[in-house]
Amino acid sequence: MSLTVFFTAIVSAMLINNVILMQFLGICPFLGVSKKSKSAIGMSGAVLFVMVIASFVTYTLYDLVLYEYNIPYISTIAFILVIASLVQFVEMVMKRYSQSLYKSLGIYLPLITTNCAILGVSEANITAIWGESVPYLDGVFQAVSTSIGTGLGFGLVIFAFSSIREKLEANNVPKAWKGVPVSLVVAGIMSLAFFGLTGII
Amino acid sequence: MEKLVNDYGSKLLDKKDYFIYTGLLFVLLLMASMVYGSRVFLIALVVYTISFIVEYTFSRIRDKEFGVRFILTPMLLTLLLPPTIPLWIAGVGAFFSSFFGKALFGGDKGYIFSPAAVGIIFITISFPAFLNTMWLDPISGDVTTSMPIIELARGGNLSFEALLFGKTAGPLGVTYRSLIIIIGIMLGLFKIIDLKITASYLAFFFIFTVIINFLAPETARDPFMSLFVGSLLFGAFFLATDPLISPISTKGMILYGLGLGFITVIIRHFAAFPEGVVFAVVIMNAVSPLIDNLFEKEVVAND
Repeated sequence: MSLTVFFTAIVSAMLINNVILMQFLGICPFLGVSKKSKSAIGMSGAVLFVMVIASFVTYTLYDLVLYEYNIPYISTIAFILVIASLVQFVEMVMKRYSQSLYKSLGIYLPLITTNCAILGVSEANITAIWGESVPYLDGVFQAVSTSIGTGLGFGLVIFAFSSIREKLEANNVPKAWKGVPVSLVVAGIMSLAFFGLTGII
Repeated sequence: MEKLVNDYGSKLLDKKDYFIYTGLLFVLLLMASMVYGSRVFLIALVVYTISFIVEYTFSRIRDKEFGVRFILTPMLLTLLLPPTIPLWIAGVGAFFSSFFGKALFGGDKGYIFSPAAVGIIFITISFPAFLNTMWLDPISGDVTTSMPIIELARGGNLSFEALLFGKTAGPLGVTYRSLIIIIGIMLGLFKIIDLKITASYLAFFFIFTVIINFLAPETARDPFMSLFVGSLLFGAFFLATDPLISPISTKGMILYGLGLGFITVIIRHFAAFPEGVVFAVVIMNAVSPLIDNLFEKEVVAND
């Protein structure tokens, strides 16, 4: 539990192993809501929020329950169930107690409970961080740091992308490539460029 | 004279400007041919042919006017290739840069990423065995894997004169650095490129190199010599300054230079690739519409 671990995890998850450009997870919200920068901010806020909660809960579940009772093979099903019900529960609480937060995040929350990026980060935390000899607190700290970095990386790309899309509107893109196809080409070129950052950590 | 802009608001160059720009860059190619022989022209021919076919086909299918504006990108791409590159790789790079970097985004009047940088990145990542090891030593003519930028990182001694007058290994057009500076300043005087971007890029590059030297002494390198190795000067004068891909407002240009300098220093000091200029240019191209949005209101207020 140190600042070095925290910042290393954040930079690595945000820039070098960027969830969209390097792992190709979370492509559907990336294409769906990157049209306007306002909805991009809402979506990335919701993803960051859910990702932090989900990685905390799933890591705890895996370490303290599934591994203890020797049933780690059901982790995928357990994670899906836990994440989905947890987020629905958080949404209800938010609706009851904080209307303003519900209005800014609310419509995106149900959309991303089943998002592959959330489940992907939870599973990757188990593969990369969890180990029999890793103390619970250290592990969960690193898992949460990684998920913060991943959420920020998602937000960074989706936000930068929303303004690229505005620029694309003004460009003379061939009819057949308008919209999603040219967005995927842009994402591919960005991913090539992010390749240059490999090896930093 | 009325300033030409495209639908997005980026400045458009005249056709005449494209001829001047490409003509001046051709001088760099001539200097390269004196060192590496006539093979240089063969590479240029391949790159030009492939780019021409792609862009002409696009304009034919889409019923658009085919302009001579296409002549600039293939020249920039050629100048960034290594002298021993197999011709088919040069062709692949030219295809990728003109198809995915340029024609898809609508051609000469608006693209998102610098097409030449996109082509170079694509072949650098796809064919690392050819792009990272096959440099020629200009004096002995032998194949070498060592470039000034790697020597500098090892703490070796570099001759400043050799760096300025093209006597070091490197891509075709980026080693004759005194000529690059002269051509860059001439283009700036003709108002074809904006030297504010170049100045901000080089200044922030210098500042960040000093800061990183201080923070991570194990990767320290001479900040002044760092300006003259690799393709930094070429990138700062010719790649980053393309008006279609850089921010519109002056404040935006300075912020763009800051980002370019920072990413270049980070890649040079810490990443697996020795040089980060083309990567920095493409990453900052992706951020540049964001910078435009940031300063949009102030530009409107100034008009």
